[in-house]
Amino acid sequence: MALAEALDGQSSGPRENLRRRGGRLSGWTVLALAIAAVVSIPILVVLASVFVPATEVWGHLVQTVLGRYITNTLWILVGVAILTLAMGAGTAWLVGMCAFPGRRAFEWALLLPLAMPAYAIAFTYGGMMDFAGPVQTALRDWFGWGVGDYWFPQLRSLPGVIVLMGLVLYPYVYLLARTAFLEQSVCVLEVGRTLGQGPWRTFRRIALPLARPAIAAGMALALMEALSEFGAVQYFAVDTFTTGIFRTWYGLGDLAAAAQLAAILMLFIFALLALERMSRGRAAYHHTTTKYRPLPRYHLTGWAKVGAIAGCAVPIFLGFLLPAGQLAVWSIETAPEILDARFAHEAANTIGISVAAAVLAVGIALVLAYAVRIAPGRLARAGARLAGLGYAIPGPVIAVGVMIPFAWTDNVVDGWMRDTFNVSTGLVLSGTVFALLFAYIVRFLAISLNTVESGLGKVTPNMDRAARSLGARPAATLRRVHAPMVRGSLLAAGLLVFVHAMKELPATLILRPFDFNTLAVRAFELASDERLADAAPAALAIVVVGLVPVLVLSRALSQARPGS
Amino acid sequence: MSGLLLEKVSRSFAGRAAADAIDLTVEPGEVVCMLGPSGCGKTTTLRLAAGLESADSGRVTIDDQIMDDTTAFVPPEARNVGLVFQDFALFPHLDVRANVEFGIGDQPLDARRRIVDDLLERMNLAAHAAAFPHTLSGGEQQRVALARALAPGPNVMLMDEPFSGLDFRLRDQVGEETLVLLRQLGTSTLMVTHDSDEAMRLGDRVALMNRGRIIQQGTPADLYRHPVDVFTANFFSEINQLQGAVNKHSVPTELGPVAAPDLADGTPVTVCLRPESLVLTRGGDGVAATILSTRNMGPYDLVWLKPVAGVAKYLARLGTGTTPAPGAEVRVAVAQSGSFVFAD
Repeated sequence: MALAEALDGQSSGPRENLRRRGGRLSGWTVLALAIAAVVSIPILVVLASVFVPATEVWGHLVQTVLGRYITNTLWILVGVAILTLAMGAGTAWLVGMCAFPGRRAFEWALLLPLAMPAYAIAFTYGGMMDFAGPVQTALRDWFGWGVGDYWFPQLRSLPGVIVLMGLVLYPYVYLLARTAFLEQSVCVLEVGRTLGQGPWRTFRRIALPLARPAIAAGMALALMEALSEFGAVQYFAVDTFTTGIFRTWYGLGDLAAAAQLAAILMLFIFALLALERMSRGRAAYHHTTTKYRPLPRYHLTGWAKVGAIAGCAVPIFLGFLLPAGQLAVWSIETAPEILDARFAHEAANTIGISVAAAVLAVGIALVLAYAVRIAPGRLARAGARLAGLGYAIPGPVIAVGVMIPFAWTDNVVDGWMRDTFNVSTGLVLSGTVFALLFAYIVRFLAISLNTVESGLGKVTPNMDRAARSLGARPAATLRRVHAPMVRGSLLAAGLLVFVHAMKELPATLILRPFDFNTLAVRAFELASDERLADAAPAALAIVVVGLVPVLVLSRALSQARPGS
Repeated sequence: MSGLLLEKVSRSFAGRAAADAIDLTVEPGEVVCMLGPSGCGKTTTLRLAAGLESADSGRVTIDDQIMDDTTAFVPPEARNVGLVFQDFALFPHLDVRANVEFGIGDQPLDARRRIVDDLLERMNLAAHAAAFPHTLSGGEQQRVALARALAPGPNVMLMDEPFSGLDFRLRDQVGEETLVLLRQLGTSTLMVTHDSDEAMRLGDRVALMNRGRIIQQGTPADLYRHPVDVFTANFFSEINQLQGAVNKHSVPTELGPVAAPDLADGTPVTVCLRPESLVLTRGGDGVAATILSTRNMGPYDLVWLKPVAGVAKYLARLGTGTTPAPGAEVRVAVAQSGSFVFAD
C-alpha cells in the first residue's frame, strides 16, 4: 500500500493549482478530517468505555451471561463460515466454470437471498416450522402422527440461527468467489493445462488457491454481518453480544456496561477486518495478466448435472423463494387490515428517514472523495478511511456509541440552562430523529464512499485539464464533465444507502424517538408478538425494495465478463 | 513575436526546482520537442505554458500577450492553447462529434458543424462521428484528441507524450501525419517526449532538459554532432566513456589519442566515443584489438571489442556484412567526428 501510494503521488506529479492560484488546498483536508472526527465519535466512545470502571451490572454480566455470549458468538462464526464457504464458493465454481442447464439463470438468482433480511427469514421460518405451522401440520396429516409421536428439529436454537444466517449471507462469498474464478481463466489455462494437469487437479491445485483471498474476503464480510445480526438471534432467543447490548441498555439501563459489551464485540470485528485486509492485500497481487480468454467450461452430464442444478437451486429456494413466498401468502391474508393509515405513516417514516440518510451519506461521501482527489495526501486519505470504518461496526454498538455522547451533551445543556435560567431543556439530541440519522450515516457512509470514489475515479485528472484548456472554467468542468460522468454512481450510492437504512433494525430500535416506527421495527415488533402474518406485509415491502439493488448488481454481473 | 515564448521561467515544488530559468521559443509552424529523462521538468514546463501551473518567476507569452509574469496570470481556459495528453483524456460520456465540439460550444451551430466536419474529414474520422471513444482504436482515439484540441483554432499546441500510448509501428506514422498538419496550420507546437528517436524524427528543434534546466537546444543534428556535455552525448546513442587527462591538446587513451585542441594540459576529462566513431580495419592504423562478440541489428551490426593491451570493452557500430567474426584480430582507430572531450 505504502509503495503504491508513493508511486501514485509521484506519477500524478506536483500538485497543480487548477482550482486556486498558488493556494494551499488544505481546506478540503481539514473538512475531511472534521467529518471523519465527528463520524468516528461513536466508535471511539465505545472503545474508550473499556477504561470506565466496571459497574455492578458488569460484574453480574460476567458471572452470568458473558460466557454464553462468547460461546454462542464463536459457534455462529464457525457455523456461518462453513455454510457460506460451502454454498458460496461451491455455487460460484459451478456457475463460473461448469456448463449445465439453467446456469445463466442461476448466475443472477443466486444473489436473491441478499434481499432477505435475516430477521425476516428467521420469523418466516419460525412460523412455518412451528408445531402449529404448515409444515408440521402437513406431516401430521399425511402420516397420521399425533402430538409427541415424532421428532422434529427445533429451529429456535443456535443451529437454527446458524443455518438461516448462512442461507442469506452466502451471496457475499458467492459474489467475490465467482469474480475470482472468472478472472483467473488465463492463469488456469496456461499454467495448469500446459503443466499437464487434469481439470480436477487444476481446480484443486490452482483455481482454489488463487481464489482463496477473494473467498476469505467474502467470508469476512458475511461473518461481520453475522456478528451484527440482531433481529434473528433476538427472535430465536439465542444470546449473543448484540442482544446482550440491547438488553443491558434497555432492560438494565446500564449504558456503561452495554458499551463494555460492545467493546468486546468490536474485538471480534477488528479480527475479521484484519483478516479481510490481509486477504485483500494478497488479492492485489494476483492480477498478473490483463489478457482474458474464457476458459472452456466443464460440460456436466448425468448425475453431476443433476447435482449441480440441485446445488444451485436449493440455496435459492430455501434462502429466498420459500420465505418470500410465505411472506406473500401471509401478506395476501392480512393486507386488507394491515394496510391502514398507520402502515402508510410508518412507510412514510421509513422512506423519509432513508432518503434523508441516503442524501446526506452521498453528500458527505462526495466531500470526502473530493478532498482525497483535490488535496491528495496521507491526512485526507486517513480521514476518508476512518469515516468509512462504521460499516464494520454492528448497529447496537453504534447506537450505544451515539447514545452516550448525545445523552451527556443533553445533560450538560440541561444542567446549565437550569442553573442559569431555571429552565429545563430536557432531551435535545438523544431520542430525536437526528440521533437516528446520525447513526445511519456513521454506519452506512462507507457504502456511499466506496461507490462515489469509484465513480470519481473514472474522471481522470487529464480530463479536467483537457476541459480547462478547451475553455471550460472549473464550474463548467464540474457541470459538463464530472456531473454527467458521476451521476450514475451517485444514484447507485444513494440507492444502496437507502436500502440499508430501510432494513436497519437494532440501531433504530435503540435510538428512535418515542412513537417513531419504521417498517423494519414494526415487522419485528409484530413478529416478536407472534403476529407473524401481520408482520408479513411490512417485511415483504422491505424485501421487494431490497431486490432493486440486487437486480442492478446481478445485471452488472452478467455484463461485466472479463474478456468479452 | 507570435508563437510561444518562455523567458527565465522557474517553478519549484517543496524547495526543489522543477523548472529552472527556462528560456524557450516556439515559432509559428515550428515543432519543438522537449526531451529528457523522467522527472527532468519537461512536463512541468509544458504545464507552465498551458497555465496548469503558475510560474514562481519569469514570463510566459503567447502571441505577444503576457500569460504569466507573476503579477498577471491567465487561467488555462483563457489561453487558447490546445492540449493533447498521453492518455488522450477523451470524455467517455460524449461521442466523437461531441468531444471535438466541446471547446467551441459558444459558436453558432453552423460554424460549429463546419469546423467539426472539416476536422473529422481531415483526420479521417468522418465515419466515426457518432462512435463513443471506448469503441475506437488507439490511433483513432489519438486523432480525436488532436481534433478536439484543434477545434478552437489554438495558435499553440502543447502535447505531453502524445504518441507513446500507441503501438510503436503506428507511432511513427501518426506522429508524422500529425506534425505535417500542425505545420500546415502554422501552429506553434511544443511536444514533450522521453524518446530521443522520436524527438529527432519529429522536432524542427530539440530542447534537452535535465534536473529542471534546459541543457542544450538546437536542431537534432546540432545536438547529435555537437553535444555540450556527457549527458547530452549520452542521451542520443550509446557511447563509450573513458577518463583521462589532456596532454599537448590531446587525450591519450587505450584506443589511441583523441584530439582536445581547446583544453589546457593536465585538465582531467571524460572522453565520449560514439560507436560509429570507432573505425575497424585489418592491418590499418590504430591499436590492436580482439572482437569479443557481435550482434546484427538489421541495417547495422553492434560489435564489442577489447584492445589487446587494454582491459575495458568497447562498442563499435558497423554496416551489416562488413563485420569480422568473434575472435578476429583487428585494428581500431578513433575518427574525429563522433568523439568528444569534456572537462570534468
